[in-house]
Amino acid sequence: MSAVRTRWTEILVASAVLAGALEVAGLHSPLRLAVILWFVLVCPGMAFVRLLDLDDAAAEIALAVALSIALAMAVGGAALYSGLWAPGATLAILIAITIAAAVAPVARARPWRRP
Amino acid sequence: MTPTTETRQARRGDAQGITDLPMPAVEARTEEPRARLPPILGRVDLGETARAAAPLIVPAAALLVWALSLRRISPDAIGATGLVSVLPATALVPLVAVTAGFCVNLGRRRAAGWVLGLHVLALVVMLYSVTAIVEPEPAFEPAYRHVGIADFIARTGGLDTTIDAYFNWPGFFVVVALLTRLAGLRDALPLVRWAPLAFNLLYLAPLLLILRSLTNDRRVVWVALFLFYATNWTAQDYFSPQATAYLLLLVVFGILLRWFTPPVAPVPPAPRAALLAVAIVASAAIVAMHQLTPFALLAGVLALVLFAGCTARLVPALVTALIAGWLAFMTIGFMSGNLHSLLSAVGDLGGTLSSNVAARIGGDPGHRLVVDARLALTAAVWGLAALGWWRLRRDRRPVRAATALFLAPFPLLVLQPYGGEILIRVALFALPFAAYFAAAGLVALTRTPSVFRSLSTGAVMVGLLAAFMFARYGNDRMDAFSPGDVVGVRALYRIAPPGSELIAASEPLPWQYRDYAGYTYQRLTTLLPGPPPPRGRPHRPLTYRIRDVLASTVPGRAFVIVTRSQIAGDDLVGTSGTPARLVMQRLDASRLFRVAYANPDARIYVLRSTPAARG
Repeated sequence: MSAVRTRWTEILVASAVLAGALEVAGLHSPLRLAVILWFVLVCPGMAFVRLLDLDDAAAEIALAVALSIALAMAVGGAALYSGLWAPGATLAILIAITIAAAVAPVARARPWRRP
Repeated sequence: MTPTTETRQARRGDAQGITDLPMPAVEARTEEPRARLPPILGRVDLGETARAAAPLIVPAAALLVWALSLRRISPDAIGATGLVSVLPATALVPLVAVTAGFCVNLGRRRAAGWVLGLHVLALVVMLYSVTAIVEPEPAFEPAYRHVGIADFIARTGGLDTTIDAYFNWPGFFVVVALLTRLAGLRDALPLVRWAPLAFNLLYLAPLLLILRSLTNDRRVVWVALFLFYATNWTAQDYFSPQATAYLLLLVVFGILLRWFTPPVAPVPPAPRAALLAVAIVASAAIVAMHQLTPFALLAGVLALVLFAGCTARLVPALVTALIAGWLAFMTIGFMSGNLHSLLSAVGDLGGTLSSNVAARIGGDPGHRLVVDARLALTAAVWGLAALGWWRLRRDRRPVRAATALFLAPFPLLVLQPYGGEILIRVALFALPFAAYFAAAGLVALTRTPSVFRSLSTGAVMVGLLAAFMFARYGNDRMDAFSPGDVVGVRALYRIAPPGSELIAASEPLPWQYRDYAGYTYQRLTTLLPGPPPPRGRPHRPLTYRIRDVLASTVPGRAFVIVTRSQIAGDDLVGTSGTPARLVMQRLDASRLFRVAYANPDARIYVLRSTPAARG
């Protein structure tokens, strides 16, 4: 596992823990806004995208943001349409997804790079 | 050379291309290498440091001068030509400086990507955060409405698909509701002001992905980015579903171009499936978010598969299924009442052009200048794109994928007038690829380093930027809101009991950001369409006609609001109904209505309980 990928694992787990802690604490501050924006819009997607080992920062960021928005929409939308709207629970699911993907072992027979 | 670089050079045939970046000559080293010392002990080479920092000077200095020269302005001070009329020269000169710095670095043999990128970044900040800094309140009426819809979802935890179309495509609002609740915000208003800058910064990554898939030439990539930002006058990057859907659209196109459109090396099954999954998930999010963008997506992926050999052949079918499924099952509330009107507009190209172009060429002479600037800017970009396309074709360079994606959105013109905005949206969807072709043409012109050619490129870019400032911010006299406009709306919510009928004389108005379903929102231009009767002809007094169209004539339950922004809007672009200024004069003199609130920029009228005989 490369150093960059290990660093992403730490960043993603730390972001997830921080987002959860700020939500539980109920702190009203710009820090909470910044952390929530960063976590919800980048981290869940990046947890998956980094596994692709794209070797291109712009591509990774683009895909991570798109996937994060789609995941937030899917989890939040599912809660909304099922009548179970609960932002705290939605965040918990996103945190679980992020941490699971971030710490998941990368088992590939042959490493792949983008063409 | 890594396998990656090798493959990409081979696939685009750029090794001998006209737009290739000249490789720096390797200098022979004759002197003895210096002994390496720990940095802290080594002597600082000031000359080397200065040379390394030199490329930063222009964008940094330009940003500093620009930031120091900006001051809060009153929307009243803005003239009919928009924001340019009130910006000091010191806020405009930095744009020219950054353009000059960009062109100088472009002409260098060692055109470092990060240096060009810094100039583009400075340009993005200056172009897309200017209104956030100088205008006292967030601009654009629809942005306030979007805040209200997200607020409804956050408060109720539900959807009411009968209210309007937004609730049938709620994806963006779900995410915003989630973010505001998690961030502990009362509503999403604090996010509105900086949304254009945030979206444009977010567009950078997928645009890089797209452009690097089309060419290996860094100069073409960065010039295309510069042109994209310098000509995107469409202003669809405010706090909105379409801005988010556009971001996702760029990502999907980027994935398909980079990994699935020939010539590309085969991608192993597992990453191929993962990349396709990301593209499909992003497509699904687009479908759940916006009415028009899914059709631009479908047109784009179909064009890539049919005309550019994209190997992701299932994607058009999957996108079609997603759109059909969403329309069939998730938008019943909207479709049941609007299907006929939607279908009747299909194929009406004349009506589309009339509502998109002819209807917009009117109003104040200053506004006509703004419309002319928009048309000229679009024509200039498309003209430069045609030049670049011709150069690429002449030099036997691959153009299919970019051509397919440039042309793909144009069939949307025959589908829908989209409230008179379809031409704007088509220009936006085509812009990344128009910018690519235009950049290829401009870089081809400057392949041979020459002061004249660099100056010509710089002059073209400065000309485009000048047109952009009029085209993009030309309507700011009405798009921008004064504190009086906003305080007036706040007073309206304070005064009007829930369930009341709120009527705006005209548009725009910064309302609906709260209690979206708690009031009935109307506009006099809709309730009483058409110009007021001419003088001398017998007619029912305006105030009586207003009372006649109220849904409820219960006293104290119907409010009419007239603001500075509405009057500015009427003056600037005209109105389809009675001008807001005339409404205000009539209501001031009326015995049917009384003034419930007034400040210098806003007046609120309420239906009296005991109207006098005279209107």
